[in-house]
Amino acid sequence: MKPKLGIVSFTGCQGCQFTILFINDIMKYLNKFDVQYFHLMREKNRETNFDIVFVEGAITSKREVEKLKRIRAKTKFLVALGACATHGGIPAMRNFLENKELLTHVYNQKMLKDSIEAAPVSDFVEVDYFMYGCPIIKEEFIALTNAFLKKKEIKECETSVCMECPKRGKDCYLNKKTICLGAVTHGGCKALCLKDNHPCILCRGPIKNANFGVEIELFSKFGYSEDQIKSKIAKFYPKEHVKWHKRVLKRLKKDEKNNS
Amino acid sequence: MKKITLDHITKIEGHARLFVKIKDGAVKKCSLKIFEGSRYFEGIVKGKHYSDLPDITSRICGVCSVSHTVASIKAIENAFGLKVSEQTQLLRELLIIGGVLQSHVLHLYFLVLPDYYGCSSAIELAKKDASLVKRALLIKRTANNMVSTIAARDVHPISAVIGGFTRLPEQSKLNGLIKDLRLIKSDAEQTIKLFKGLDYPDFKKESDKFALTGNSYFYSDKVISCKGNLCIQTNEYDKHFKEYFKSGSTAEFAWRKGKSYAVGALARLTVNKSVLSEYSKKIINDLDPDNPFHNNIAQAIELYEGIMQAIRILENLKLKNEKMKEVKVKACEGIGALEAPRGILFHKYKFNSKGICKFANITTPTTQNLPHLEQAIKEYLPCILDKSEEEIKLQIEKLIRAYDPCISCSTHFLDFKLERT
Repeated sequence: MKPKLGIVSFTGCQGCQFTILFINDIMKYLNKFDVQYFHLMREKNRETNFDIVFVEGAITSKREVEKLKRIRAKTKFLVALGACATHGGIPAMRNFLENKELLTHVYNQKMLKDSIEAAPVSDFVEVDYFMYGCPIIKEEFIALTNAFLKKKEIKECETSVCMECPKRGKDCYLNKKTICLGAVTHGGCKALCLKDNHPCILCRGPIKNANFGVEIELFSKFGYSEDQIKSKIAKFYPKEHVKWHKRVLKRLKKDEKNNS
Repeated sequence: MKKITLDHITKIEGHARLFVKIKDGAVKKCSLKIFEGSRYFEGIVKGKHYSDLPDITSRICGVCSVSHTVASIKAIENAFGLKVSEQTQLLRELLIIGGVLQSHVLHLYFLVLPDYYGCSSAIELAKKDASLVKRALLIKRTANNMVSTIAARDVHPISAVIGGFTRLPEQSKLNGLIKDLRLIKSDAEQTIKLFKGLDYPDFKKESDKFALTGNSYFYSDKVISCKGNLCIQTNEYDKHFKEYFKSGSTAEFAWRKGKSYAVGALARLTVNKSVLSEYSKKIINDLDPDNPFHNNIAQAIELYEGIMQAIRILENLKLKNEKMKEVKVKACEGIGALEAPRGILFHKYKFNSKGICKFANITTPTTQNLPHLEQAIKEYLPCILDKSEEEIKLQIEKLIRAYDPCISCSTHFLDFKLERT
């Protein structure tokens, strides 16, 4: 029997599902599974006993929490798919809107009653594999599904993007005083942005023990304004940014006082 | 009273629901509700540095990330008065065409076609007729290849940035792309034949149709025209098209002078007939621009047109290394408009003297099409009320999918509810 597969989407841009659909021989991979749940592709979708489920998107409402928990209870192996599911991603930026006025700015009156703070999947259920990135990397999806079919264990990359970066050394963006977040970002993407001359934007979320304090201090020394640094770090991982920023600001102010 | 519910409409981009109430054989209520989680894009970009906006707004939508990225870049460049090179413009045009091809082929073969073949999904369709899905995968491969050759990734572009491109595509890859595009030309012709031959309901919903006009079919941005008689300057779009929040939904709905209007492939073909290839010009004579189901045929024609125009651009493109243009920061505002796969997309921003975004308005094609879609459902329902509930659901879903709604964009699927008494 083919393993039962589900791709379940919550709040996000659905770019990770599209990335899966954009795999060249996608039908070959999907045919290895019994696809039971995939709203983007199928008319009939069943919450059944799944062998593997990919959860895309951040969790932003009580209704989504309930559905996620229901699916987790029926699933053997659950993968958080992409930055929104692993870290809250772009949707979690709304948690840090400065005031109510901002909230009303977009959808001027009502907000959904059951809305909660946008949060990653792991805030509510156990996650068996974190597939980082905005969007995910096709090769990692193929590697994971192949490993799953062969019942082999596969682990997330734990080193930073810097370790894979073709610009290490004299071409490093930090040497050019350009904000690059490769040092604090989960690797596994083979530094694809840096290969194409684009600094790392933290889309795969921070590595364990990421030292944002050092980063923020460095960028301030480069001459970037607080707003600019905040703007860069707050994109895919707003939570961490807010925590560190407060701490570093406090210290910088103290240093300033001591110096004067 | 009878009620039918389409609880979570499938095979569209995003999450929506339709609720219909029928009393004594008449439609009493028909309401399209969007329940995709809000992400408040226009709120979250406030306070952000201008250089971060394209990366953030690209994430509005996974299937039209290319369009959002380029619209955002254009709005920023227009605001700061930055003029980019002709080469950059041409590469962006290719990128936009690539995005249209990606989106249309997925929509036509994966979301629309299974309905007409009595299949639940493309996976089942592949079992019924493998050649159809094979053709779709071939076009999809070339479209993705086109986007990733130019912008380094097929979802959420990397190298397309403010002022130009962080890296230029290799000439050898562009040559390969021309070959691939020539190969799928016959597949596009087959696609037109296939979608022209489907059995569409004879249904009319008249509307004002708007599209950007100019010298280029896929990449004009100055004037918004309505069937050639009304012209609106792009920079005044928000005076003409008003967005309203609908209660119970997380999406906005856009109206013009209290009237719904239509954007997208069918509108583009109607407005921009003159810049089409001779082949497409002949075919569109068989189209009924007021039959929303014909939007499927219109998308098939655009697949062909996109391929032909991309080949033309690529054949004349000789890349040279250019220095990226740099922004001089000042307090300003700007608008970026372009034709996304589903219709006109606007990004408007205001910046302070430090380049921090103080205001954003993003009007997506689906936001503009939703009122028209909702009215079309209301008008189409009486034509099919004698049918079984299953059949009504299927017909309504076909209508909804013909509009190719992109719910992530407008909030951001369809639950269908029908109440009959």
